[in-house]
Amino acid sequence: MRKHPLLNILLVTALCCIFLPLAVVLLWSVTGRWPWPGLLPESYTLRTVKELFFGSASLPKLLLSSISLALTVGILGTVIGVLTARATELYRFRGKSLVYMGSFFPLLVPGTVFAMGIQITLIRLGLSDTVTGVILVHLIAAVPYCITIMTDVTRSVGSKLEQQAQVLGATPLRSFFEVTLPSLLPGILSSVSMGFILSYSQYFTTLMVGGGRVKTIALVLVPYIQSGDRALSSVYSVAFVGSALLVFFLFEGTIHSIQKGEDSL
Amino acid sequence: MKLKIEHLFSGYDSDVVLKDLSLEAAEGEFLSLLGPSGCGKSTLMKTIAGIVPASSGRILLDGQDITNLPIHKRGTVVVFQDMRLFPHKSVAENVAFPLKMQGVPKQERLKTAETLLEKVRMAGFGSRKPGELSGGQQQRIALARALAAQPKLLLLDEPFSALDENLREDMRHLVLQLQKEFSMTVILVTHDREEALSMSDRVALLFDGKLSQIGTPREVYEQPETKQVADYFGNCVYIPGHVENGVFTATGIRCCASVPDGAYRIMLRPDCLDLNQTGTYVLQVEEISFRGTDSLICLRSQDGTLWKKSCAGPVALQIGDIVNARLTVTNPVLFP
Amino acid sequence: MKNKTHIFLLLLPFLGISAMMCVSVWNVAVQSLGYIPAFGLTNLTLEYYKEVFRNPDFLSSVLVSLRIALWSAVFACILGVALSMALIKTQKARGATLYAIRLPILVPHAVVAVFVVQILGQTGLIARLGYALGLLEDYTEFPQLLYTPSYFGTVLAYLWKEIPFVAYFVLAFMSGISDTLGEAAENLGASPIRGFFEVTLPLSLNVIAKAFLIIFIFAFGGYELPLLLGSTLPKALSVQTYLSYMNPDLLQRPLAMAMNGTMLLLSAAISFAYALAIIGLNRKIGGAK
Repeated sequence: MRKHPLLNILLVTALCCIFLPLAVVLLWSVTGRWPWPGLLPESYTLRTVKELFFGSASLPKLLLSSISLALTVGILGTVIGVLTARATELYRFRGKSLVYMGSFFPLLVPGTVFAMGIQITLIRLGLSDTVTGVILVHLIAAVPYCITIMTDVTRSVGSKLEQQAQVLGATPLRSFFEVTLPSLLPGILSSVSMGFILSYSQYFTTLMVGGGRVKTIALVLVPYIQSGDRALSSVYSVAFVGSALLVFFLFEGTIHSIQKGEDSL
Repeated sequence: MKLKIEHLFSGYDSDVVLKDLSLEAAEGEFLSLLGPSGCGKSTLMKTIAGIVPASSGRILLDGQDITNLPIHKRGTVVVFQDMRLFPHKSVAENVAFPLKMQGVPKQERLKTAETLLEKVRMAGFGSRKPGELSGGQQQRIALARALAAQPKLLLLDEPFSALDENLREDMRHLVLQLQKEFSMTVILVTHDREEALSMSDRVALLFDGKLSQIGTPREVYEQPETKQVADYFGNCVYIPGHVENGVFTATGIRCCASVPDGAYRIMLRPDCLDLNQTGTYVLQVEEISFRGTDSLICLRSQDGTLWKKSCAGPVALQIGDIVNARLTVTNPVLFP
Repeated sequence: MKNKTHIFLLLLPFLGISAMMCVSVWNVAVQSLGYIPAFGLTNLTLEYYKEVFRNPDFLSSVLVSLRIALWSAVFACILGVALSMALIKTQKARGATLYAIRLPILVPHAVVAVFVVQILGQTGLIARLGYALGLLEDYTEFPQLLYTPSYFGTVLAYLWKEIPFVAYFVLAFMSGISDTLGEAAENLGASPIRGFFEVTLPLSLNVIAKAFLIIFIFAFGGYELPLLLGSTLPKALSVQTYLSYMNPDLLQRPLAMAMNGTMLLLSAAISFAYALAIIGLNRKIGGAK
C-alpha cells in the first residue's frame, strides 16, 4: 500500500472525534458521582438504567413505538421512492426534470417552517395529535433521500430483465415482482433504513404535529437535556443511539448477505 | 536497457496478480504485452506506471530504480483505454496539462499543444471541449496529451479497442509513425493478436501473471515454446507421432527434429497444408462456409484431426470429397 | 394513452407529498400576509413583515441563524471533502472505516447536544483535561463555549454530524472521478495535491454544492441544537419563531408566520444562487458526461 501519512492522521483524528463522545456518554450513563475535576467518575451506578426500564416512561414501550413509527415512515417513503423512480427512469414524459427538482424540494424548506405551515391543515383534517399526522410530516423528511436511492438503483437495474421476463411469458406485474423487485432489494433495504434513521431522529415535527400525544424517544430525551440531568440524558442517549444502530446494522447485514449471495452466482 | 523489471510481484490486497515477473525493453523498442483478459497485463502496466504498488521486486527505468517513486515523478505516461480527457478543460488545455504541471509558461505550453495537435492531425480543434469530439478524435487528443508529457516510456492500455475497425487501422499507423519520429520506447497492452504481431518489435506473452514467452512476432508465432502460447495464436492442429534418431514421423509426416527420442505431438498451422498439390496426406471435406473474401473449409484427416483452412477465390471442392494433400513442415514445433 | 395513466399512477404518491409541501408553503405565505379567518383576520397586508423587520431582536436572530448555517456548511464541506479524499486515497472507502465514518449520520441531533455539553462544557472533559495538565485552576477559567451568542457549540455540534455526512454524500462521485481522471492527472505529472485541485475538485463541485445547500438550509432552520446549546439572546430564528407561534396571544401568529416567510425567502434565495452556480458549472464542463 502507498503511504499517505497526512491522510492517515486525518482519518485517525476523525475516528477519535467520532468515538470519544460516544465513549464519554456511555460512561456518564452508568455514573453515580463524577465531580469536577476528576477525569473519571468517582462511583458507578445502575440507578439510571433502572429508571430507564421502570421509570415514568417505560423504555421498552417507548422504543417499540418509536421504532415502529420510524419503520413505517421508512417503508412508506421507500414505496414512494420505488414508484417515483420507476416513473422517471423507465418512462419518457414531459416534466420529468420537474419531478427531479420536486423530489429535492423538501430539502429546500426548513423543517420548522414546514411544520408550522402544515399544522393548520392537519388540524382541519383531524390529523393533528395523531400518529398518522406525524408519519405524514416525517415522510417529508425521508422522501427526498428514498427517491434518490431508488432512482440510482432503478437506473442501474433498468428494465431489460423485466422485458426479458415478459418475452418469456410473464405478465407485467408478475415480471416486476419476479425479476425487478429482487434486483432492487438491496436498494430498497438501504432506502428503508435511511427513512428509518431520518424519522427516528425527528424532534421538532413530532413535537408540533404530535402535540405531546405521540411520544418518541427524541421527545423524552430533550427535556432531560434541558433540565441538565447528565446521567439521565446520557442513559437515554445510549438507548437512542443503540437502538438506531441495532436496526441500521440489521438492515446492513441483510443487504450484505443478499449481495454476497448474488456475487457467488 | 531502457526498462528492466526484476522479479516483480504485484496485485491488489490479498490477490497477487503478478508472480515473479522479469522483463526488459530496449531503448526505442515497441513491445507488446499480449495475453487473455485477467492474465495480468494491465496490472503489469499499472505497476510500471506506479498506479498499483509493487509488493516486491524492482523496476528500473534508464538505470534508475523507480519501484517506489510516486506516480507523477515516474515519466511513464499511460494512454488509457477510456481516454480520460478532462471534460472541464479545452482540448488545448488538455494537451498542455502536463506542461502546466512542469511549470511551462502559458503561451509556450499552448504553442507546444498546437504543434502536437498538428502531429495527431487535430489542428484547429484546440478550443473545443473533449465532450464535443468523436471517440477517434478523443483518442488522438489523448495521444497528443501523452506526448506533451515527454514520456520516458509510453504505455498504451488497449487504446484501439474502443474504436471501430477503420479508425483502428488509422490510429495504429499514426502511433507507429509518431513512435519513429520521437524515437520513443512504447509498451502496448493488448489482447488483439494481429495488432500485437503487426505493430511490435517484440511480443511478450503473459498467462496467469507469468511471462510465458518473449520474442519477435515471427518467433512467438512460429516457434511457440509452450502449448499455451501456440493455442493463443489459434488455428493449431496437433498430430501425435514419435521421434527416433532425430526424425519425427506420423501419418503423412516426416521431418527432422533435434529432440531426444520419444513420443511427441507436432504442432501445425493450416498454412503448411497445401490442398492444391497432391501428396500423401488424405483428408475428407466436412464443411464449406463462404465468408466473402474467402471460404473456410473444414477437413478431417484419416487420423481424426480437424483442419480449418481458408481458401481465396472460388472453391471447387464439395462436401464429402476426398483430398490427397501435401504437408510441408519447415520448422517443426514438437510438444511432449 | 395507457402509458400516461401508468406514469400518473406511479407518480401519485409523490404528487401527494409535493402537494403537502405546497400547501404548507401556501399556508405560511397567506398567514404571514395576515389572512387567518379562524382568528378573524381577513385583510391581506405587509404590515406583519414590516413589524418583524422593525424588531431588532428578530434581525439579530436572522443574522445568528445565517451565521450558524454558513459556518456549518462551509466547514462541513471543506472537511467533509478532505475526509472523503482521505478515505479514497487510503483505499478505505469501504468496510469498517466507512461504517465508523457513517456512524454520526445515525446519531440524532439531540444526542449530539449531549456530547457537546459533556466534552466542551465548562465542567466538560476538555476543561477537566486542562485542569489535569495544570492549564487552569478552576472550571470558571475555562472559556464559555456554549450558550453564548457566538453559537460556537451549535456550529460544532452540526459539524460533528455534517462532516461525515458530506464525506459520505460525495464519496461515490469523488472516488469515481479520482480513480480515473485524478489518476490520469497524476500519470501526466501532477502531484496528488495538484491533481486534486486541477481535476478532481473542479469536477466534483456539482455534488459538493448540493451537499452545501442541504446543510445550509438544514442548519438555518434547525431547532434542537440552537435550543439546547444556544444563548437566550439572540435566539436562533427557528427558536424565536416557535416561541411567537406558541404565544397565547393569537395576534402573534401572523408575526410568527412572517418570520417563517422570511426564512422561506432566504432559503429560496440560497437555492436560487445554487441553481445559478450549477448552471454555470455545467456550462463550463460543456458537452461532456
